[in-house]
Amino acid sequence: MNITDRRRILGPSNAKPLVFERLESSEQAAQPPQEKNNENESMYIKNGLVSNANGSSYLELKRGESSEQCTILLSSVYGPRPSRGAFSSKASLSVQFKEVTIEKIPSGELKEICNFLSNIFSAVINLERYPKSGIDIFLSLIKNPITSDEANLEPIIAACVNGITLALADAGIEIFDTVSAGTYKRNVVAFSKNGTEVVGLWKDKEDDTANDILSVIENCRGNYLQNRKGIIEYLIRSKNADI
Amino acid sequence: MVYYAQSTHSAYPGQLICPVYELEKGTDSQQVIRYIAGAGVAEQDYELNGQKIIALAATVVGEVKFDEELKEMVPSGEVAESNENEEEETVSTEEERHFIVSVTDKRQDGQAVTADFANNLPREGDIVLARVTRISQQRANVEILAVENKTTPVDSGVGSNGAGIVAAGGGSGGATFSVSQASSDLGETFRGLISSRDVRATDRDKVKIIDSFRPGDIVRAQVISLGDGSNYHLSTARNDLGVVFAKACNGAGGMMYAIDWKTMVAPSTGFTEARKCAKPF
Amino acid sequence: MVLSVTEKSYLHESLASVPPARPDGRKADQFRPIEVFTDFLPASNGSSKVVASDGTECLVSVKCKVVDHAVEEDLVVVDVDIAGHRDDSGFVQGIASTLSKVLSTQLDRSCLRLTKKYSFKLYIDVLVLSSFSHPLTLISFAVYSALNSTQLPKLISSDDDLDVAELPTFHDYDFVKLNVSVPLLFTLAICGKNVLVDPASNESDVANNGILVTWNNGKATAPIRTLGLNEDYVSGVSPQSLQDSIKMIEQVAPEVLQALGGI
Repeated sequence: MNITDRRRILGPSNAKPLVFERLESSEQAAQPPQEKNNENESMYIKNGLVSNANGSSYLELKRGESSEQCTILLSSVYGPRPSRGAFSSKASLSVQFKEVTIEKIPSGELKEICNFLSNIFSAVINLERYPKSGIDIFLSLIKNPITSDEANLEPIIAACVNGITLALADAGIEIFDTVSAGTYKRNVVAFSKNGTEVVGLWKDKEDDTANDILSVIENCRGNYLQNRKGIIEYLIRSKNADI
Repeated sequence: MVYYAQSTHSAYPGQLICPVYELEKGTDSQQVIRYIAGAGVAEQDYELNGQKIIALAATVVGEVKFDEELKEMVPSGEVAESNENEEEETVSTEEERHFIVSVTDKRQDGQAVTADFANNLPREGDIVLARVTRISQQRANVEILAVENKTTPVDSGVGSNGAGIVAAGGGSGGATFSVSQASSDLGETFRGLISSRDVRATDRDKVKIIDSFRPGDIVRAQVISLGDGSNYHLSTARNDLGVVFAKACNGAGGMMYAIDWKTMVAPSTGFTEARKCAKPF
Repeated sequence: MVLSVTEKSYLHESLASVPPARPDGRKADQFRPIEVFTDFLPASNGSSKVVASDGTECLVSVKCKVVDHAVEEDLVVVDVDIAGHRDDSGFVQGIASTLSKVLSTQLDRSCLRLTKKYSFKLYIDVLVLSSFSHPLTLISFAVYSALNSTQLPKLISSDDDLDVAELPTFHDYDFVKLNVSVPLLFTLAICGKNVLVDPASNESDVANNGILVTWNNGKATAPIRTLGLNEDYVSGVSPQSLQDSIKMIEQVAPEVLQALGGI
């Protein structure tokens, strides 16, 4: 190769590339995966992986033993940062969802999910504390449990709710409650105030739970309490580990 | 049970801390204790057995802290008037204590700055450090770099470089830059303006902005209002407010030092320049 | 009209009181009057215009095309255009996606079946000329009346064309009415413990949450989900309110269908 790159300053010809020392993998040892086996569902949480975000969370949800049925979601929170335009006494919230591997979810449905999530978190974030600013939430779905053609969005939506809550808590943005979501069949319900209030309900597919919405909510609550417990345990433990 | 006397404990968002009011009963006296929501705490409505209760709940992860706010007592005459139907004895022994309840992150505790992670947006009354970006005869435009005694969030509040669609006004992350670089390069700081009337407290109508600030100066100023959509309104009309750092010859020369409230001198050359200086100590 | 903070707070209190006091004097389960015009676009197979009392206006046109249903999976395509909102905004795309999902999964495909090989493909274009409140209920009424006024060309060739390679031929001027059960989508506002049907814009501004309930084949059906109607008052709601809203739709939906069917 005799072509010299004349667009860049190449430096001296005897330059050597920088070599960094390998980092000790101390993190892995310090943080054993958090396993909770109930209905064969387990959750692994790690906060603060995205270094330039104000807060972030990495969430791995496994259903059953096989690694196929695994949802991996990375949520990051940026801001509050100044927003331009008209004066607003509250922060504005934006949620962006992206599949980083193969895009299987139609873009219209992604928009619906984003609308649904920003609706939930408008109710949850203490937006009055952040005048004239915007809070941006970015969700990256790293692994999708969808194997067949039929989109099964429910576990993903539940993971998004849990992931955003963790990321917001990591960012230190004021939230009224540790909101979490529970799924039951094809329903997702996001709760606050220890399950007495519903902040989001998503029922997209007809199933045999027909019109008994209360029993659906009741069934989701069990799953919610379990998820919420995991989130709170993680938050408290990681806080104590920091000190 | 007295809430403020409890030892500190960890809290997570949504955890109930205490009610808004509490009645502390001593042996022969009783007092009302009022809890006020501070940083990281919000008042929330709860319903218990059909009854509405207002309680304080944490909104961030951290340690619960109770700080007593020392206030002058309510004049007893007023109390007696409003509680005429109550017994005289109760009124005389009743006093109100105020506690500010806050939840703070241990990571910031004990450091020089008060803990208000990410919740550092400039508010009315806050002292901020700002850099002058542009001057005109009527005002100086500044960008707010930091709120004094507050930490800046990891991304410096300057935006995002996430994988997703970058929101309008979003840009690159701040962690790789220093705060000052990121802010000026990307124009993503909160902006403010110092009107010529707010430069100093006396002779307001004779203020010349050009003799008070120059672009590039670092100014200590107070937020007087949230302003409009784009600018905070700031003021330097106090002795301890004004230019704190400035370089001579519009930034070409060396650092200058204040010799009085309206003059700065460059020690290397001896030249003086006019500024509205902050009293250093 | 933009309400001040005080006006909003007053309105919220009155809507949350028992019984709710709605600013236009409606009962909790009362809709605003609407005007419906159908079948006025000569170039489309079915059309309708719905005008609500607050000036919200929605036009729907249904056009059809003959397609090989073995090749084309989607027999219903919905396009939504809302004046004052960008086409790529989350609001418009969310509504479009919800509508097309509901219509393509819940419309009976056999009604569109022409022959063993071919089907009609419906293109439903929705244009909201002006909207003040959440337009989904109105759009759904308009889609309902447009689909119920749709006339499809009458087939005169054989409907068994698996072996014969021929395209379906149609009668020169005779049409067949499309007979299909169309789902209706209702938006409700939850204020305190009250559930309000067909919220007006000022009511949406102070609602604690909104809920979307779909009605098809005589029962409430999926999708049922919460919708944010505003950003200031949105909060959690009790599970009972969700149950109440579905109950309310079960009560009013048959009457709405009757009213729309009478056109």
